Amino acid sequence: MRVISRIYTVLFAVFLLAPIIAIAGGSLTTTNYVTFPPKGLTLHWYLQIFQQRESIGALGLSLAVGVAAATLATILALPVGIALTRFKTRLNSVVYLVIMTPAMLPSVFLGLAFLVLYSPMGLGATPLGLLAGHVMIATPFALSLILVGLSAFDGTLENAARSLGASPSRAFLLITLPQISWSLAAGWAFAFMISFGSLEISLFLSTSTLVTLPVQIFMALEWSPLDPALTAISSGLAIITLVVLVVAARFVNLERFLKRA
Amino acid sequence: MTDQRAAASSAVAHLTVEGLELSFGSHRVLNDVSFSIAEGERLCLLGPSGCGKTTTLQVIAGFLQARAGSVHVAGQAIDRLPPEKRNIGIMFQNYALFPHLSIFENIAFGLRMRRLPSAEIAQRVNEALRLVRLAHAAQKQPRQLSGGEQQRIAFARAVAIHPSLLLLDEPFSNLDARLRIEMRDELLHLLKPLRIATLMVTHDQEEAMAIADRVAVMRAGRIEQIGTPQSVYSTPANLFVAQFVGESNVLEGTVVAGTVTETRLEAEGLGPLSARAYAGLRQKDQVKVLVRPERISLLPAGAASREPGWNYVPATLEEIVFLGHRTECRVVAGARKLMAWQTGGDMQALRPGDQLVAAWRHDDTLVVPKDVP
Amino acid sequence: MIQAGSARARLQWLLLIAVPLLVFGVFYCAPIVNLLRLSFAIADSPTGGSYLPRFDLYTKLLGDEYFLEIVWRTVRLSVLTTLACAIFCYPVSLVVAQSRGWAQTCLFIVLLMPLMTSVTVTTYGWLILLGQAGFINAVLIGVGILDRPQRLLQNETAIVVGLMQVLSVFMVLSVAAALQSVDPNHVRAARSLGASPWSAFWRIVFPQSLPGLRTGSLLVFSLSMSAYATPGVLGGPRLKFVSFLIYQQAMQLLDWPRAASMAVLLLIVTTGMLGLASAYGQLKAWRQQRAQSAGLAMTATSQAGAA
Repeated sequence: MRVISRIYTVLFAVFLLAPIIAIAGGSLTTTNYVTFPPKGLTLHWYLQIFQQRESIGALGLSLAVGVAAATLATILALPVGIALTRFKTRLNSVVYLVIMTPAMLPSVFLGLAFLVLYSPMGLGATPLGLLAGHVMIATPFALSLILVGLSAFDGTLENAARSLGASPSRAFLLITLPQISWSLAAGWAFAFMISFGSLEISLFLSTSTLVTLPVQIFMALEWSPLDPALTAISSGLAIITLVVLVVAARFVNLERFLKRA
Repeated sequence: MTDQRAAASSAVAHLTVEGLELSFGSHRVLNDVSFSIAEGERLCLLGPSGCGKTTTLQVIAGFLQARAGSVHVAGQAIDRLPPEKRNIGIMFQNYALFPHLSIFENIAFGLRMRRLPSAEIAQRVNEALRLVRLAHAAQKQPRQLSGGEQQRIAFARAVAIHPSLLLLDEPFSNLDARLRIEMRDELLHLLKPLRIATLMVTHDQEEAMAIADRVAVMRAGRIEQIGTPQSVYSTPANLFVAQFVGESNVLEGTVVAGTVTETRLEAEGLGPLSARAYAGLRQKDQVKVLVRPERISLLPAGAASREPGWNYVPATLEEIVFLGHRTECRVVAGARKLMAWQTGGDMQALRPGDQLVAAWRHDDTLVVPKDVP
Repeated sequence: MIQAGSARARLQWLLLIAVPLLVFGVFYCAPIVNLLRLSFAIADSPTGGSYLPRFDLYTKLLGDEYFLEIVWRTVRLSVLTTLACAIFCYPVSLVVAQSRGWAQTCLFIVLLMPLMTSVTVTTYGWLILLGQAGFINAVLIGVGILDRPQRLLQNETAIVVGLMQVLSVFMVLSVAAALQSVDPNHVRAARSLGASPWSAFWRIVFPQSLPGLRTGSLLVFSLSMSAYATPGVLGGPRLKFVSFLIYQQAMQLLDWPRAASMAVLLLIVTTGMLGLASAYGQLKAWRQQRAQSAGLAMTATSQAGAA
């Protein structure tokens, strides 16, 4: 029974990874059109990326927005997390709901809402508007992970620090923060991945000059889906995501998510 | 309550707690809690869970604010001070050692907060480590130490700051039975020479009696009785104290007469008994009559001598349980069942059904008010 | 945990949430409220310049056959995806709940990759695999099941498969979390009382995993309803989802109010379906309780009668 379920899981894993493997494999082909399995192996198309200004531009924008959005999301989520775990009030559920709902609402709904209001605000076609939208969808993920870290933190440690002479802020900086730093890192990583991979929000908030990588790929899919260069840059996107995910997994004790839920 | 006021005025009270009141919502957690601790004295708050002992500790430490009442240390009111300014050493129930700091840094933490020069910090930390005999563990991490060792480090950390008051929160509840006794002795040996005013909180009466100079028995936010372990044990103020501290056989009774030397009672289902003289008892008062199991001797039925100052009640042995260090005998006396604990080996001959006489001193008959508020 | 009874504690709480809540208020809550308002408006200009509250848009939409057809497809395929996830993910949850150490970490990474990797990459990957000249066709022809490449794309199955791939992680983790909370002693107790392994699982473990199935289904269903890229690319121009319509209305036809009302309707339908499902669950529980108390009443009367 155990063997069967293990085999099934492996097959399921293959199913989950199949498209990504296809992209990675297809980008290595020597032919002028994408084929999987690839005919021959070459990194030619990856090197080509650096020749295409649009691709590099889109990649750069996605990385910049991703880093900025993740950082802002973590900065916003931390005080909220502290407020939710330290203080007991009915308003907490309201605050929690407000911050978490961007992850639950349809992204097209959100993209439209942002576009409609950011435009009269003067943010319509600007990087700032794009960043704002990304921060909104990334913060729920940062908060989720930070809450895990804060709930797992033993509050008596801070009490001990205070009894030994540490002011509340020093106790937080010296004792609490090091203990929850793993959840801050994980929150940042997930916020980054959400922003980096986000499509629908970026679709609504992009312009012809302000194109994130997912949007560029998506648009290109209509015209030239079998272009290996497109496949290569898509593969690049997947690789960056994988690297961040693996690094985050090293930080985080993933078992805690099962216990918490 | 007069017990503790008297103690407060005679010795130099180092910690004085007066009239603490605290409620969580409609639940009254502290109800006029007052006591004091002299310099170098060890007081233990003893009571079941939920009685408010830990809450009292937290108010003194500054983590909770009482609605009313005051806390004074060495004559100074500390109510308004935040925890970090109170200079109180705390040993937490789960030790609360900082996981990401070494043992050395854990103990040094309080000293760093006080901005002491590094040389002095090093000296004090090493002194504290030597005190608890863990000098070799300075560079280790808390998770590398056993439970007992972690506790000793927690102690070292609390005393390294030379606190004016030491608070111990259920220090032994995380240890297994054998370790508990070892650590109890160790803690006592550490505390005595330090002569810091100490407040310990526990639900285990043996620990309380072993460590404390005085014991304060708490229930539902009130202090029921404060006194030395001996006085609390031998003259409990009410039924709750009598049953929480040590074991008791409990009987209903009526006061028949009171003289200068003894009190005569009619115990329901058992017959006439005598107790020592109690002030404040009147004829026909309804009371509870208590006898501790270890005070009852079981004699063979035919034993002739009836000495003055003793109660004698005919009893039939019902059940006998050998525990090693003592033998627990349940006897039927009159219409009641009594538990008698016997030590010594001469219980081999006893069998259920044997006719015996249960005997105990008048002075070992305790009388407490019938109703517990 | 500090009770927010004291004024000082309230102030601290307020200071902590003030800035985040303000940011969210301006950049998130305001746009949503604005969108709702817009959906009741007539468009004089592309940005909906003048506002006369009307419910026209909603009534028009609800009467629009084309729109309803798309809503129906979206709902139908979302339900299918949810069911498929519930069935196919369950065995994986069992393995995840029992795995430890690096094996578990690997599983997590594999489960999270499809979600974290941009949806453009995953749909693109399916394009390559399911295309006429794609891998799957080639394998099936090679093995002999097909003689000619089949059209594997631009149909509903492709959409469901694509959605399943991205959303499985939610179902797996929800169920795995519920499974982990099952006390292994319960199973041992059942076995000691004579239950076979299958029986012990079905009677003891499975019922306790149902809350996980419910949470997972909730997540998978809502996210399927909101899907944009996966149905768009894998379903082709004929099999649209509601999200695509919204995008089209807003960005191509520039009719923001209409797009807004579509978006709101999408939200209502999604929440409505979830509400129905939970109401159904409540109804079943209530019926069970009534049956139980009826049974008790009957035994009581029969005993009273016998006495």
